[in-house]
Amino acid sequence: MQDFLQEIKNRKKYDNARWVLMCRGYLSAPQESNVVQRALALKTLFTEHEKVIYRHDRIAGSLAGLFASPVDENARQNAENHINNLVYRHFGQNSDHYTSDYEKLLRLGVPGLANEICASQHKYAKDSDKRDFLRAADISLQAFSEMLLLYRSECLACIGREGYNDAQLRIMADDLLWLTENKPATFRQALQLVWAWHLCYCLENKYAMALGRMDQYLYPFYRSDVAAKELTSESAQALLQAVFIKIGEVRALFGYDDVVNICIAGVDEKGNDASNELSYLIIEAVKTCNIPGPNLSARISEKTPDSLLDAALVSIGTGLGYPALMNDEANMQSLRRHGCFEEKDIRNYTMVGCIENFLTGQQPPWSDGRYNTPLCLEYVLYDGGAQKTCRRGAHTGNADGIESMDEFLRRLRVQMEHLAWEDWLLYRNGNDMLNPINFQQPFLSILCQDCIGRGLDVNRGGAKYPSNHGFGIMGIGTVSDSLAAIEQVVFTEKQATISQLRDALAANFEGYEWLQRALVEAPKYGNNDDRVDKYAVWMVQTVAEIFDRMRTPQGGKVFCGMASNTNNIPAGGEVGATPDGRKAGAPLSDAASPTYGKDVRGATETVNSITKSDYGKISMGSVVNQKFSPVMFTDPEKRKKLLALIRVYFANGGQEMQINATSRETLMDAMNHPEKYPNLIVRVSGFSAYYVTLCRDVQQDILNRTQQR
Amino acid sequence: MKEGFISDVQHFCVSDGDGIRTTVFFKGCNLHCAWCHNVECISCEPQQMRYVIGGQESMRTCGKRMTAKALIAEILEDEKFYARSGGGVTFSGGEPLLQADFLAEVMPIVKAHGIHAIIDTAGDVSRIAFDKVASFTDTFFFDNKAANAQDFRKFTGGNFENVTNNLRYLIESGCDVTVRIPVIPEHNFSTEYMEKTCVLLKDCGVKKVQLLPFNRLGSAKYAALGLSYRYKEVPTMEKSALLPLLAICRRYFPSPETKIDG
Repeated sequence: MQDFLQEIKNRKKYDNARWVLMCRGYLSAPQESNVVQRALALKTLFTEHEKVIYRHDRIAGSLAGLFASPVDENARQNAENHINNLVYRHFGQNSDHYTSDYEKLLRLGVPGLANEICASQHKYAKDSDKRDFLRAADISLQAFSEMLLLYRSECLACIGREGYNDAQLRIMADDLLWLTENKPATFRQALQLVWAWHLCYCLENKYAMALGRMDQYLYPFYRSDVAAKELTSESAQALLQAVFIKIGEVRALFGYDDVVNICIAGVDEKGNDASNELSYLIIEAVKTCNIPGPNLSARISEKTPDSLLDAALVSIGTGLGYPALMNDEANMQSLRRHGCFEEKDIRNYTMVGCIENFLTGQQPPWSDGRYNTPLCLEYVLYDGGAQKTCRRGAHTGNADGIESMDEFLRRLRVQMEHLAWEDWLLYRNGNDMLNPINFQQPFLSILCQDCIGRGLDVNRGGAKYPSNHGFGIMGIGTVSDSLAAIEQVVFTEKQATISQLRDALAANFEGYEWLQRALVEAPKYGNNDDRVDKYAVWMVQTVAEIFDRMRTPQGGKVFCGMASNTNNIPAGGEVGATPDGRKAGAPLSDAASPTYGKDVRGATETVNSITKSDYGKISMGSVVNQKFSPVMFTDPEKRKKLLALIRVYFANGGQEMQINATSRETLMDAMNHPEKYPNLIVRVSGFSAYYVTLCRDVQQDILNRTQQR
Repeated sequence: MKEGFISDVQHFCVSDGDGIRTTVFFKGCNLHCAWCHNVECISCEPQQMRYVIGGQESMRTCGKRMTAKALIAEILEDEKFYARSGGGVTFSGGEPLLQADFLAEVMPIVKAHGIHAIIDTAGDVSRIAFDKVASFTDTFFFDNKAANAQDFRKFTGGNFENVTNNLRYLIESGCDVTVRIPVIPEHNFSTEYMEKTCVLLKDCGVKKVQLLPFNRLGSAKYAALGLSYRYKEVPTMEKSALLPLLAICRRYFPSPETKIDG
């Protein structure tokens, strides 16, 4: 696969032709309605980008065609002005982060989808808005079909060229032609059709478009091809790799990684184990490609066999970190509790982006924002004021009047409500700016139930379910640790008054080092200590109560998530010193994890802490980052122990675990910056120690034994 | 209620027996093995350990008194993990059997919860200590540190005959015993020495043996206690270096549990 990746990276890159291509279609029919113009912009984008076939290609379709030739700067500027005026939806407004109904794409094929649109056009012949929408869908589907033919022509044109495999080119050409006139009949054709569709989203500048449950929708094709001896597991894996590696084009061309979620295993429509041979082949293929773009998620149900979880751990241990492990039961419960999703749809959920739960092909694209919970601690202490941001909370009174933890929590809840509604308004207003009829997505809507049937765009009520919005709740560790520290230092041991605490935080602990020490010594989240874990339980419960009351402009649900990517770092920059002893501007605790380095009693105790909270309430999903030494993955006996840890974590209601093997880079960094790695543990029989406490030459011993990735 | 003197309780231990284990390190030992990697567990008194990490000095007191109740509660915290992984608790140290009365309070309750229990002992204690805990112990990890009394005295300061008698006694009583041999450079790290050791162990009725490669991970603890460490410059041993010795052990003790651990 590295040869293929090199071919992708080595390709000469010119300017991005996207705007010029879209503008050509957009300007071609100025008398048309907005939605049709948008479809015409897609048409020129799909059909007129140069068709690039790599020497290593097994499945056609490449983003490189956007960058295949020089673009006149004036033309580009002019096009960008036009397209900017057209304005596209952004992430916060249900633009991307979407899992298409690829099962439907494969079941109907292009002709079946065209028939469906046609039938709807007849049905709604008298409704001009629906007519326009359906015509736009039809234009984009025809453009898609035309694109397949153009890739076919390029395959044929490559025959005989140096370095190309003529037989492969003919196979691809035949498949592409077949797919314009038929539904897919083979595994390869199915994969080709899905990849071409995904490519169109990428051409259009959509990010984090998921491939969904590939082991489910591809499996019927896999099974019948294998039965007919047309396909082996090796050849299927090779085809998957030939697709996954091209997710890396985004980095080669745009300089950032796409996040293409691929979801495996979980349960089927009836609630039985859904894993199959393809689940394993997908893990192998992602592992072999070894690039960041394919974001593999494994839905781990209690029905999922240990063998799949074991294969997942082997993959994680290579240093790749994938797949992320999702507790199927907790995730489904978090969706089920809303009472508005059908059980069979819940069982078919996928993830978009990193971890966000999504009703596959049945809701508008995902949107979410961040919620900076620790800011509310400042609001309580400064009567709605804050140290490092212009944002302001509610007036809850001078902090001197707080005489108990109950009173502190009461005020904190007021501030959390205030911040939540403020964040919600920012999100809603961003949406209200867009009149849905002028911001339609005709191509995406084709693979969203029930847009075509209803003749409505995904954001105009076409989707089976209205849009759901998420808030990534940040800083559960920082908040829990802070509350436990206030309880211990101020109210139990009375080492300081609440106003002294406030003054110490305002001074960023300068002159109050004694108080900072006392705060740091208070119980910390992640060590199975009820004195602090109870506040995490409180926080999960409280945010769920607050956000449960909200609805999106479409009437959908607002989900809480305990995920922050790396936003805990900039968000920490907005928050002054906190009562857990954290200095102003330092990062907040990450996602649903304990404050970094504060969980020091071993992974089982971390799990015991985390699972006290009810993650069945966290519908967007959560992320708990955990690191283990490489031997935990390479030694089958130790891997079994890790597997058992995860099983107990999930059985107790933990939602997600993002596991990484401690890398050489980490160990080297820990030698030079020990303060960053206080809980990195080294274990051998009858012994364990924190890595940073070891003598340097011993650290070097361990480093030498840790394989280079 | 009795109190134990404990240096540390460590969760999610993956190298101290089957499954996920909680290892309880007892403080206090009557041997002074030259290579000891838990040197802070030798003294029966609380000790100050002084670490300098990244230019920051920190002091830590090693050794805390724990009631049986508190220790049991801490062991039970991970009950589900033991059940799922086939793990349990390992009493290590130091020499846990120097606190046999305390163990005799803790272990019946641990046992009543169906938790698998291992005692990791060097064996130089009175037979009565074993009697107090044997019926609650699923497995003894019994160290072998030398093949003869002279070497044993030289490297550990202990009573070889007592240890060997205890080993025979345990096996004759029907206890499950795994002998664990720390393999130490310039001591027992040779095929000749391993042959002698195996002959001795065979004679005691031993059925399974595990080899533990020497490591110098403990060197920082010596520094933190202000002690010098004889093995400071001796590199940690590769597991693969033990393969010829393992072959010998396998010949004498053909159990699948005879292996290199660590």
